[in-house]
Amino acid sequence: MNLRLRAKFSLFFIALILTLVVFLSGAVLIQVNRSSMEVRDAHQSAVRSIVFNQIESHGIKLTTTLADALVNHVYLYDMDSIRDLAQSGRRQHGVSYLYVHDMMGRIIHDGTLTIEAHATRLDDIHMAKLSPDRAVETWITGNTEPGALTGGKAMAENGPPVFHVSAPIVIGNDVIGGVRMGFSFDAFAGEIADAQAELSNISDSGVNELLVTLAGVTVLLVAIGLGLADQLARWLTRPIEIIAAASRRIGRGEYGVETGIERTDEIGDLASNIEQMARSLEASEASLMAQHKEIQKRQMELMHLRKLESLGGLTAGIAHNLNNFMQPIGLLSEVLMQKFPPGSREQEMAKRIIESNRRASELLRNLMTYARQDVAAKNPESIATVVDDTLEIVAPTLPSTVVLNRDIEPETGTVLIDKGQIQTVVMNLVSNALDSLEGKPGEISVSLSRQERDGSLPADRPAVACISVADTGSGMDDETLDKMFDPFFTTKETGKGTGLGLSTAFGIVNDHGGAFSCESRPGKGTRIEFVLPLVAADR
Amino acid sequence: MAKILVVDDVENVRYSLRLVLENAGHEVFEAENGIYAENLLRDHAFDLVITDIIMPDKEGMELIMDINEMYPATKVIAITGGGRTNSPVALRGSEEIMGIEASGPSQIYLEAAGMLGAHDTLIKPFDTARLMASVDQCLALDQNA
Repeated sequence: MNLRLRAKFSLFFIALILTLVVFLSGAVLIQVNRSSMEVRDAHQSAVRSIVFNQIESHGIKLTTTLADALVNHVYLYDMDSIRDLAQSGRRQHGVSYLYVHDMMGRIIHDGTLTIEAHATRLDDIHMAKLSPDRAVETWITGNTEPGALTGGKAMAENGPPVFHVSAPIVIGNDVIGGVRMGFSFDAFAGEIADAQAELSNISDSGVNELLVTLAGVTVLLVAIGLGLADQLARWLTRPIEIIAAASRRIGRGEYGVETGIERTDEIGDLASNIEQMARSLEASEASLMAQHKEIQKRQMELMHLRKLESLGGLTAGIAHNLNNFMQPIGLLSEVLMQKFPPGSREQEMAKRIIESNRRASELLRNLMTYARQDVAAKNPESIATVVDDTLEIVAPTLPSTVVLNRDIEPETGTVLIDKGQIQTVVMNLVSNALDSLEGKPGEISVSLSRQERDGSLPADRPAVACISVADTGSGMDDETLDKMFDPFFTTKETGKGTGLGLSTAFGIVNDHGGAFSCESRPGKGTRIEFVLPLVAADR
Repeated sequence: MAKILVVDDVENVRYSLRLVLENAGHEVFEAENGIYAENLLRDHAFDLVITDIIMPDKEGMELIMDINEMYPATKVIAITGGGRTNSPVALRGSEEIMGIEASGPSQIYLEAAGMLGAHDTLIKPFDTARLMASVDQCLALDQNA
């Protein structure tokens, strides 16, 4: 299932809670049902026993009362009274039969209008009406003849339930007869049913109330469960969500993330592992960036060297021919110039040709220098002296609005250089600094110092002389910085710069085993410096 | 007044040198390569030979060596426009033989030329003043000798 973890947890908890609730409700329902059945059974038997008791006492009372009332009439054998009493007894509620008998068990009257029963002995009826195994409980003592039931109560189990009561008719100590009555439960069935129904109504309404309560509790439990499930799922997934968010941020390069999870369980481990991972990533990225920068720097240097090399080949090939072309131009225009009178237009033209030729040859020579087609005559020189001498030449050419700061360390040491070439480099740098001031007042600072162990240089030349030229001029943007050493690249107006000043300087410094570095910001000025290896004696 | 042989494969270079030298009063001969130069050297006694170092057919280097060997009285000024040689193997060979540090073709040639016996060396393009100074210096050597 393609669901969020939180949703899955929620569903799991909901399912769990529902299952629990269903089980509990089921158990409660079964228990309630069973109890209510028991209650109903108890009720029924209670109702029956109460009704039985009532019928019993009612029967006994009626029978004994009738027996008492009949004493005189049976003694006198007053049939009218006997009949009246028997009939009225027979009409009593629930009476299924009634027999008034003499002391011999002969039936005198059965309460009906017919007298057929007269000839019948009570025992015959008695035997038929009572189950044989049921002994009659004798509740009136007295000696009676065997077979003649004197008194008691009995209940038939089979057949329609009937309660039998016998009561003796006694004068003094003599039993002169008896009354036998049967009471039918059927007559009371309605009352029993009513009582039972009422009881079961009470019981059912109790059960219903219980069920309603149960349903309410169930719904409440489910509702709480649902809310709780969401909370539980949230509680479980919250740290995972935090970690997921943290890893997203790490993915975006924010390595300083803190999950804020302080736990000792697996999630805590995961959180701290991720934080650790971010820190390692940060470190390795920093180191990668450093390496990348170093590689870029090397690539730039290599690119310049390649340009130098290819231009060198080209220059060498062209230079030979160009010099052969320029040679006659120069010499012949000099001859021409002498041929014409001083101040003549022709002589002026020849002068222009000579001048142009000279500049062309200078350009070519610069190109040769840049391309290392020209040799450097290297001698051990005090770099401080060389820089000082160069500044002596340069200083007078600077306008008065420009301040030249010098910070030359005289004991910098000795370098193996072509003095002229290095002077050219310094002059080119100062000239560029002056140009960047664009005629406005400003400062040019030239400094020379000794630097130990520059990592970018071979290990056997740990000490270098560092010459830097800084200005407060217009500065350079990144694009210009990238191209500044390219031959023929110039920011100056056409005709004012050859685009060879810095590339020549680069060629010379490179040829001397040194290196350039430059920092510049548009509007803030430029600081360009180069290092030259110091010779062994000065290390 | 001296007898000067100008050896260069570029006609305009020969022409311009001839004009300047003749203006200075010298007698000038031209050869466009080392072989022609050798022929002329056999017929004439030159005070001075101004020769390019890099030429087709016969290299200026050889010519300088031959002059030194066969015509010791003749002075030599080596000139070069720099750039690549047509026979880099020969150049590299001479570098090794002479123990010159490889630093730049024109410089190598001129240094080599100097070692082989050229009295002066000039890098093209040079102006009249530079040329005449060199020529006068070489010829003065001759007179002093």
